[in-house]
Parts: sequence; structure tokens; C-alpha cells
Amino acid sequence: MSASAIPVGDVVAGEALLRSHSFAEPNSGKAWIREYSLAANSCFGCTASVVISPLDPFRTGGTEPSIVGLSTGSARTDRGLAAVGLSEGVEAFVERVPPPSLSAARDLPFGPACDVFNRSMQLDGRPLAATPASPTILKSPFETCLEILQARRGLLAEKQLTSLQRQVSFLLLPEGAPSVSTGSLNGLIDFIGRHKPVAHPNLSLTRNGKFAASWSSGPRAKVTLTFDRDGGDWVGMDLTKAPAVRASGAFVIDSLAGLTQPFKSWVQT
Amino acid sequence: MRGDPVPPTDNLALHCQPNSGIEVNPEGQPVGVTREAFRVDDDGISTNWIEYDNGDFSSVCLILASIRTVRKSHRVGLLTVADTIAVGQATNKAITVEHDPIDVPPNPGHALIKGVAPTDEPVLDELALYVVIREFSPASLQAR
Repeated sequence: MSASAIPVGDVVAGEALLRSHSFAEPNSGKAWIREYSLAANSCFGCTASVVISPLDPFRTGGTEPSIVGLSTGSARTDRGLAAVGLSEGVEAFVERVPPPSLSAARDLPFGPACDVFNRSMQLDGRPLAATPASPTILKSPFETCLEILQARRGLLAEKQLTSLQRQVSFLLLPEGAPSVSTGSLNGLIDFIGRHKPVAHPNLSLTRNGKFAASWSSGPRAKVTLTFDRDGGDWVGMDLTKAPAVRASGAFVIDSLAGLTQPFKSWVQT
Repeated sequence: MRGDPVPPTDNLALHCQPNSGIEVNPEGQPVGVTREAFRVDDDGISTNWIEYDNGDFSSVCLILASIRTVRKSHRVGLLTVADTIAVGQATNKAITVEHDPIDVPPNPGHALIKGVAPTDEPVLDELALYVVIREFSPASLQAR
């Protein structure tokens, strides 16, 4: 199996055990990567830890993650790596890799990322170090939001769930957000589940980490709802009308009564 | 020169980031911005004058990449000076666009949208409707 095809959370049947947890990027306190520990084919007796960046749909166009680092627990690296289809000679540990190298490599697909690590790490033939001990486990805002979406997927149609996952991925990857309001995300999920809008909204983040959903009836006509747990604020504009129509107010999750026309109809249709 | 009005026929560029103001459609593709894309300081909203010194979109991408961290997920927000002034007229705000070159870091094409306060959310919402977003040029992404 090609390492670059290992999906997040999947198990490589027959030859590998996958265990995922998040590492904090050294010196930054920011978690953005997952480690998969692969127990490779017993013939080679090698254990490899693969560091894979989170899903990045706008880079790969789908669900393929990028491997940005590799550490091994055995001196028989090359054959072990070959057994799991990974590039040879990469000797980077997450905790030992200098932050600039991580930053330089993390947007790259697997091959170029390995090249970056090869150039940045001194390959002197010394025995490879053991797998990292006691990794700092932090959950990124992106992971938190994905977990919430998964946990509450019963409220959403499949297309709605997929769209929200894509939108959250773009807004929170690869650099993440300082903080995200989980109450806002839960409010958004409740709203979509309650009112089941035919058109899925566009999504954005406010500077204080709240989710804002917008529906548009044209290039200069939009209504935007910014979510708290139980409701939020809305603002609507239709600049195509003469005179232009502008309105704003508050809304609650369970009702569209707080929205005025024509903006209410844009959310419903 | 500093304080000179930017011609209404010219264009402004904003550096837009996913976690502050970029709007994405159901496919996860950026399609616009919200008011969060505007950084409103005491002296105005920071932008870059695209046509300054015979510049174009490619050159402003390189300038933005030289003074900020730009990534593939970021976008350049484009706003015409004419639309900016028109929003002011429509909202009864005296909005102007002035050349405001910066020495450190060097940004000679810097311009300010003046007359908008941080609390002028309706004005910012309306300005956001006129912003068109584009990807950063490949050259500017490689230069980072």
C-alpha cells in the first residue's frame, strides 16, 4: 500500500496497527498533525511512526492526507520502510524536527515532504531513536469541530454533513484558528437540522471564532446569520432593489420568526 | 504621494485568510468575504493600491507575500475604488481612499479606506458584497 494513500483513521489490514493521536507542533502549542504507528511486516521487525497532516481537501481535491514526517524504531529502516511502501532514509521525529522544517514540509505531498526532511536532518548512519515518548496530546479546533459534526450527524442529511465537513476543513486548515466556538457550531447544526434549508449556506468564521452562514439570492443580495448556541444575529442586504433593502436583528434556533422578508425566504428556499 | 486620493478607476487589494472573513461554498471553495476580512484601524482600512507605480495583480501578490505570510488557502480580495466610494454615498458615510505609503516594511502602494469605523458594521457588510476574490499568483506562493 502506498503510504500516501493511507487514509486518516484507517487500518492497514494484515500488517499494521494504526493508532492516532495529535502532536503539538514544537514550541507553538498548536496541534495540527496526527501520528500513525505502523507495526510493519514481522519479517522486517520494524516499527514506523508516520506523521500525517490532517485532511486538506483544497490541496488534494479529496481526502488524501500528506505525510510530512517519519520516525522509526528500528535500525532496519530501509527494508522496513520498503515493506510498508514508505520512502527510505527519512529519520525525522516530530519532536526533534525543527519547527521551520515542519512548516516547510507540511503543505507538501509525501515525496517532496520527505525531501525536505532529508535535507534538514543529518543522516549520519547512527542508530535510529525510539519512537517519541509521552507526546503532548492536544485537540485542534479542526478536530474538535469534526468530532462534533460526526457526533451530531443524525441531525443532518448526508449532503449537509459532507458540505459542513468540507467547509470546516477549509476554514480551519492548514493553519487552524486560534479558537472556535463549539456552541456556535452546535447552534448552526441545530439550525440546519431544524429548518432543513433546501440550499446549503456558504460558511465563514468571525474573528471571535463564531460560525456565520449566508444565503444569497444574487451577487449583491445576501443574508448572513452568525450563530451562538441558541440563536444569534442576522443581517440582510439586497442592493439590487431600488431603494436598497437592508435589515438586521436577532434570531433563535428554533424559529425563523426573527427574520424579515425577503431574507427569511432566502433561508427557506 | 501620501494623502493623495487613489483614482476611482483603480483597484484595491486585500489579503484574506480562511479564519477571518473568507466565505466558502458547500463544496468548500472560497467564493467571497464577510466584513471580517476588513481590518479597521484608527487610521482606516489597510489595502494595497494595485495600479500604483504601474503595478498589476501579479505585482501586488508579490508585495503582499513579501510583507505577510501567504498560503494557498489565502485569497486576494479585489475592490474597486469606485465601488468603495459608492458604498459611502449609499450609506451616508464620507468614505475616501488615500495613498498611504509605508516605509517599514516597504509597501509603497499601501492605501487606506478612510471614513469607516470598526463599529460601522452595515458599511463593512456592504463593502464585503463588492469584493471579488482571487487566488494568489503562483509566483507569490513560491516566494514565501
